Amino acid sequence: MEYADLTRLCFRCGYCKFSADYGEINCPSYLKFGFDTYAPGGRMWLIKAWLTHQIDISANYMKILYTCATCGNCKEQCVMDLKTNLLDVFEAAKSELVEEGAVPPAVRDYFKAISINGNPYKEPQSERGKWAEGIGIEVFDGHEYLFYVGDVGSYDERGKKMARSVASVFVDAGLSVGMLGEEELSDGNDVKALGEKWLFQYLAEENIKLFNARGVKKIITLDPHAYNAFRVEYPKFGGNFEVQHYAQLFLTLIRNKTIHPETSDLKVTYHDPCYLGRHGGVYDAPREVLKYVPGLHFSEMRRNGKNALCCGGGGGNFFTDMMGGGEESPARIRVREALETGCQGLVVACPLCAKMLDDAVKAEGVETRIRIQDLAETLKGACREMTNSRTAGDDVLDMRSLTGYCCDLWKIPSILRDRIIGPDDIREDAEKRPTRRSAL
Amino acid sequence: MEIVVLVKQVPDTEAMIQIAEDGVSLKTEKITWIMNPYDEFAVEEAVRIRASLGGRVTVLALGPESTVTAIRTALAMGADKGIHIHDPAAEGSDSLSTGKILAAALKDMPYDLIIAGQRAMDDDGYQVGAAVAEYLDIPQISMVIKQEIVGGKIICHRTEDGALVTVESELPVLFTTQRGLNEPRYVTFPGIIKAKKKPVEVKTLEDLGIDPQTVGPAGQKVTIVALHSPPKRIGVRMIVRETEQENAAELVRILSEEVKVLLA
Repeated sequence: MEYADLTRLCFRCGYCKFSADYGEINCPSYLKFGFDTYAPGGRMWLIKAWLTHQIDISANYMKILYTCATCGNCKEQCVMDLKTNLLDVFEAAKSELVEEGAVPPAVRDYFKAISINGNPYKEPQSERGKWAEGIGIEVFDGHEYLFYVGDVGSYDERGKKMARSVASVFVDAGLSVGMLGEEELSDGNDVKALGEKWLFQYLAEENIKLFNARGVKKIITLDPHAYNAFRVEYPKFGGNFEVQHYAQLFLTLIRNKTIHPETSDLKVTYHDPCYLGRHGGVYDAPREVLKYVPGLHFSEMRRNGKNALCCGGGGGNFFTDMMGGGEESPARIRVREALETGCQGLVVACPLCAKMLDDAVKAEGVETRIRIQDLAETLKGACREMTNSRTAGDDVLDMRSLTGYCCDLWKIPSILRDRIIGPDDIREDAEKRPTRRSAL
Repeated sequence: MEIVVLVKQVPDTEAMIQIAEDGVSLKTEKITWIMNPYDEFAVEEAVRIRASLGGRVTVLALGPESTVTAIRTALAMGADKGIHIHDPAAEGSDSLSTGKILAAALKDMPYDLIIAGQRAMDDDGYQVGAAVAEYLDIPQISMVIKQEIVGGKIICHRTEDGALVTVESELPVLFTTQRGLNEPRYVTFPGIIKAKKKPVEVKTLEDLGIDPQTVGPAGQKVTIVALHSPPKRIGVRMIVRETEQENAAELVRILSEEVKVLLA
């Protein structure tokens, strides 16, 4: 196995699973499962045990390897030189499982869907460009930028919404930008993270061929995972493109006064996507963008930047759900952490984070207190309905000013949207729904 | 233990199925072809049995040129050799003819155990496994979720109307697979390429001693008269009246008058 020698260097000091101040656990899978085998050090020892024939491949061994969200917190906290290749060790171990054919069914089905259908949703390629209907973005044909949306932006409802808001910012700004639509193919970042390096190579080569054939030079990605694949991995296969995440381009466009953020008096915080932050080193651009929104109140979460807690969707977990839900799932912990800041909006810059945290908000039953919004939605003042002054501690809201917004959240049919919901009804409803405390 | 697995290549289960111009066949241009998912359980089980009892796993498939991809996938999963019955005269065979052709190939082969998918995911016929067993005059156990071979006997578990049925038989036997039997292994690209070194024997109807007039379109006992797409799902219809009583009354009216599921 590649990097096998590194497993001997880890003496399981355990720092890898902590936050920068060692004050709390920052490894998503260790947070969820609480056993040392689910921490990076534990995985290192387990892989070593497998390499030295002390243990065999089992369902549990597979689960432990595949619940790693590849968030990279361990690389920040590890005190040994091996930290540079820490995630490479896990990836190599997963590759060994792939080669043996011994991967969890959810991982197998993810690979098969991408091999057969070109995307994990098993949807026809002809549906790929549907997110863009009515936005006015053209199919790429010699444009300055290619807007690559990826699987989640193309097929997931939350992802599509995000792709639409980002694309409309570009279109409104008159940027020369095109999309690939039904020709777009999975970027393969998570395929690689799950250890299927052969399928990843195929996807990378196909994408590079396609980008070159279409004359693509500059790529803007919706998804930080694609940003990582194009920027770090594709050059290894001869694909050299100028790659930016949309947050970076937003900043440029704001600075040169091409786009003008709308005023907002929301209180927001920002969640760093692992593949933009720790993997991509882009911490400032999204924060700078938020600074340009007039009136916006920004505050940081306890864990931010290099020290941010992952939503749990990285490393393919978004698709395979090996991590699973529950109260101690990283996404729900993250939502509770965001609520501590007193924010009304949790700003994200990744479609996977958006969906993971959206679901977590619902699971926590805090839809009326916090909303997951991406950077583009924040610029366009999508949360204007929520601008009444509230703090996170408020249990009862004045719903009359929020009717439109709440209808969306509580899935009240739009036909009832005009009906005014009284505060008493809402309070009663909120009490009925299980909260974290009442569940305990 | 000589194990033979029957494999069919079918359209990807998520493929957009469209009826061809002739009205009795399907458009195949944009379809991705895969190994029938129930056959994957069969290959996986065969490979696992070989791992514990030793022996050889042979994959037997009938179909056009492209079928070899399904055979290669089975070989990459661990099967030892493949037999591809490829003859234009056999195309368009119904389930019974398919059973007859496969059985003819099996007559010349050693086998202790034959494993087949319970049905192919394309036409959902459920016939071929049973037909092969009948032609070979051996017992068949269908929709197996667990099996155990002890001393020349096989014990199979199958579910039936919420009950678990245990069936025992002497070998040789044919059994068909049900979901839950196992989790088929994942096969990588290099795995499939490596499997190219394994032998795939191609046979024609003549090799099997079958008169082309008795199979294919000429030998059809079942004829497809027409294909129809299922009716499109209609969207949700909201009933919005002033009061709950009016809502309920309208719902009852729709269910009895329009949908006709309630009788007055």
